[in-house]
Amino acid sequence: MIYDFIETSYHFKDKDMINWANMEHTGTDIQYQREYYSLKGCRGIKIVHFTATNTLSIKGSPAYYWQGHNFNFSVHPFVESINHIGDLLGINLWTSLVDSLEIGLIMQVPEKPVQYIKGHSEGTGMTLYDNPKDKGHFRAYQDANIRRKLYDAKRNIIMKQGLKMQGIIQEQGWNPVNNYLKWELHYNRPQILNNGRSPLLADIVSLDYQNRFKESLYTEYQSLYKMKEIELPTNKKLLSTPDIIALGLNQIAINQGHTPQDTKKKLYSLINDIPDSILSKPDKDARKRQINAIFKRIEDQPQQSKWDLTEMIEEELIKE
Amino acid sequence: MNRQFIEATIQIATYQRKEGTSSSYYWQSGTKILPNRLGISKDQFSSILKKGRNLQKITGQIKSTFKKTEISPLKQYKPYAVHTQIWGIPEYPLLIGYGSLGISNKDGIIDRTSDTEDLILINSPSSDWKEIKIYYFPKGMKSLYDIAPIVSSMIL
Repeated sequence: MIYDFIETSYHFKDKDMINWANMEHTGTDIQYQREYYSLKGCRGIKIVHFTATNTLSIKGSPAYYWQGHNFNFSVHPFVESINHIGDLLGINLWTSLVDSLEIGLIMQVPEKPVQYIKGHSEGTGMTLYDNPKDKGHFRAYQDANIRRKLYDAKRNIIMKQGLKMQGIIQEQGWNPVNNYLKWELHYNRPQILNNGRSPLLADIVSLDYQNRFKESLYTEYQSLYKMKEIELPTNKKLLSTPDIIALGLNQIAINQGHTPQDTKKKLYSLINDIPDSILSKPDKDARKRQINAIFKRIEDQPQQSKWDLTEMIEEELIKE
Repeated sequence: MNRQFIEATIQIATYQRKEGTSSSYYWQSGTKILPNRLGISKDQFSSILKKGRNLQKITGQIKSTFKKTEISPLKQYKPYAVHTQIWGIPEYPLLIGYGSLGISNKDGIIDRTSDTEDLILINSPSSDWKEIKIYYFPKGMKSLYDIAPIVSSMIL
């Protein structure tokens, strides 16, 4: 399991000796009474001082700060990096409140990551983020509490890292020939982990939380919809022309990342758009029933999705 | 502490001894975190009690004061003095030694409360210490034995 991004708040009293000397002042926002600082590492950590409330907000990826990449970053280097940041700031950062955090895992996959990513769509109550700029290499599935991310970890390394760092990551187990997928959970509201109260930074490295994170990486993955390959029926009766049209339509839709349910909804919507003067309501309902009957056979196909990562996630979680 | 982090955050300064002096060094290049002029002595400017960490082999001493015009995170309280012993590290003979910077505190003195735990490692390409290279690492004291081998390998 990889500890990645964190955002924490540290409230201090006047008697606390914050070591401003180790921070680089990067800006001031007079209107909102904020001072901006940066902490130099392999990559920077951003610090905002809310002067009105004597609060420090520390935001960034300890993995990037400490080692320049997030291909791996277990609890041990995470603890070491937080201790060092706390030393530099002159505070016990472990007592700060976690405002958001990110954990994840990387798995080696046999096929191209883009295929797996395309093979997962949002579960119930989630919004899909799929920016065409990412060319299928990144997808996020978000609800109010968690942003779940699935992306091509190899492409991430090649796009973000220089050759020297790529060499270092290779020494740590990355093979540029292989395909890697990263599955991440970004908790926008970590309060859900702690009965509605923000956990302390010290909490999230406890064994209890480590186990909870592992469980979440598994269960949150289960909440995604995995695309299934459509199997052609062997019974001639189930291969009428409308059946074949529906099978072909769904095959195309699935390859574009849409579920049969999505396609069905679009067809219903198309029917609804037809004026009642051309198709009466009973006519529309009858056509919807026919569509539903054909689609039900497609939706009911029980086979396992080719893109299901459950076993690989289990393997990664057991490894630790 | 790993190599990438050490290489990314270490700050290096070169000081040159002023002609005709034995311990007066002036900044030549690199980071300006330390004062422009440093007093670096193989002998000690001031005697110290042989106890605690001073039981280690002392290879020198650094004493300095920031000028009014100088800017540095180490310049906090008047008289803006900076001081450290230089302790030898037998495992890394390429280094003259290491120091943990002390700076004048609120009361204007350097005592045991003034230790910043900022680590400096010192090296000179020549035995006469004409040129001194200082490797500065904020809050690096705890990681001395992670940092020293990497700096030692940078010298080679």
